Amino acid sequence: MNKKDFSYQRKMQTAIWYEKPNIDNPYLADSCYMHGYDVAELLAKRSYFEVLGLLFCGELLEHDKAVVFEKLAIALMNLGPRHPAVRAAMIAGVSKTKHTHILPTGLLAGSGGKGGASEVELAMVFIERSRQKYPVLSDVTVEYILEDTETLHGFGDLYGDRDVMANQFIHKIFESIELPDQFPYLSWLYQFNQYSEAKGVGVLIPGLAAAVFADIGVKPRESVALFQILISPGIAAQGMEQSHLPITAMPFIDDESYVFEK
Amino acid sequence: MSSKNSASVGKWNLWEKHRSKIVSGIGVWRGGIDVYCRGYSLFSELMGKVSYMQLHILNCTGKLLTRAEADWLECNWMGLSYPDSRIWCNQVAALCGDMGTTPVDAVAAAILTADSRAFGGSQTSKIGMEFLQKAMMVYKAEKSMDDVILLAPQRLNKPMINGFARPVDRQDERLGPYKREMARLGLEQGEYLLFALALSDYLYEKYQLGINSGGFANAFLLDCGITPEEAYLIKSYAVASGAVACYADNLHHSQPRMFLPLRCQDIQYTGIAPRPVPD
Repeated sequence: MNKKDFSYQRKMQTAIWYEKPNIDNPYLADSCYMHGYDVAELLAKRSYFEVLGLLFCGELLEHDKAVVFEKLAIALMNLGPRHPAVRAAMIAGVSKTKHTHILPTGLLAGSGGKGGASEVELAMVFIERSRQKYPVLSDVTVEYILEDTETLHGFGDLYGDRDVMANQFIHKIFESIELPDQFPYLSWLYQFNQYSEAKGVGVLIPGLAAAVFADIGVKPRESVALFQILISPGIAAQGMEQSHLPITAMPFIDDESYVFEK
Repeated sequence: MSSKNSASVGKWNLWEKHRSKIVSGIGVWRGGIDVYCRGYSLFSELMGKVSYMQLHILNCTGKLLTRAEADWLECNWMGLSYPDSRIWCNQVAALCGDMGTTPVDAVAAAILTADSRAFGGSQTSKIGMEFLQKAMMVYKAEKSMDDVILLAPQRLNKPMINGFARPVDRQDERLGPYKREMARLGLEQGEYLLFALALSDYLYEKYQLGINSGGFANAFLLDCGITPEEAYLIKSYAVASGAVACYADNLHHSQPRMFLPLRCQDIQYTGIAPRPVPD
């Protein structure tokens, strides 16, 4: 590549945030604007989830979308101590790492494509494409979709079965919606999940998150980070809890249970 | 157990087999006795007999490269971790220093930054080696570099091939030393490296593009029998050294936010103009 092919900008750019400089000190901001809205005014008038939606989507979320977003956040708040992301943070906590490392450690473990944040992006693509191809579902079309295992993300089995908790969450969230037409992705996934019950597969946590994100206007790439944000509280709380305990508070696999196959 | 449970146990039998047990062929620590790494005793067969780079590659891949091959790869690592805080991963490490994080925060953040499809030598090695493998197959079948180029995406009418362009400057200062060290270590140019250099000549003549450090190292690793996935493992933290240096350089400023401070106006806002929040 020739040097002239790279033209580095002189300034960083953003369409999200504007800081109005202080007249006396240009390093200080007098006011900050998120997508055009004064942050001081936002905190006085809007909920956290309306503003979180604004940050990622560029516009304030309508009330019913913010409500569904918040319900998803509660569902994802703590994936539980057996989830690899939470468990990684707990191991970091009990192993006496620096407290600030606990959350990032869990988020790294939870970033993967097998049930982690990366799968949410893949699930968004899966739902979008499948919904376009099969807007009306039937036993036959569901069969076609399930057979294409290369594209199937955010959906399947957990420990060989339907994920009971993910199923409870999608039912609770979907049943709370007054106008399902406002949530076309979640509606499609809900139906797909119903049709798939006999096959022993169903919605998984990344798939549920993907459908809600699509309905509130989050793009697939951004969905990865938003998922990480929403699973953070449980990772942090469970990891911090362990940090108060002695290093012996967690099992250490003994020699007999460590099978070394040379 | 009820009949329902008996019927369903097969579904989770796979997980049950692994419950409270670790099965590994990689290694084992026998407390007070020894450690085994990929079948070798760490203390009687490896320590003092192989270099750290040889051991690292062994742990990652199960392959024990020759000392000369591992020494050359060490040179490649020296070329992957410059202590210059303009480089993206190092800039992140410098910001960590400025914020007063731990050195491990800084190096972890830098390694993540360099896990990039554009630079860094970890993910880029995998991408570049996969291309070289496909390119070599096409070249052997078609005997034409024109056909090889068709494998690559185009940008500005030029093929975009990982390892054959460098995102700052065309001349790569590492190539000369790499060739010199290969000769000093008595290493021959293998099939992949010869092919990569021929591809570089073709690209230079036709597009003014040339091989860079990554392309050279990718070909070298393939000649050593390392797969693209193994290279990603081996080089996962190759930028660590330069990053730590840039972190340390910014750790003891007299005031916070001293590394490349930005005025409000140093950020170009391209979004929506200020507007009232609706009630």
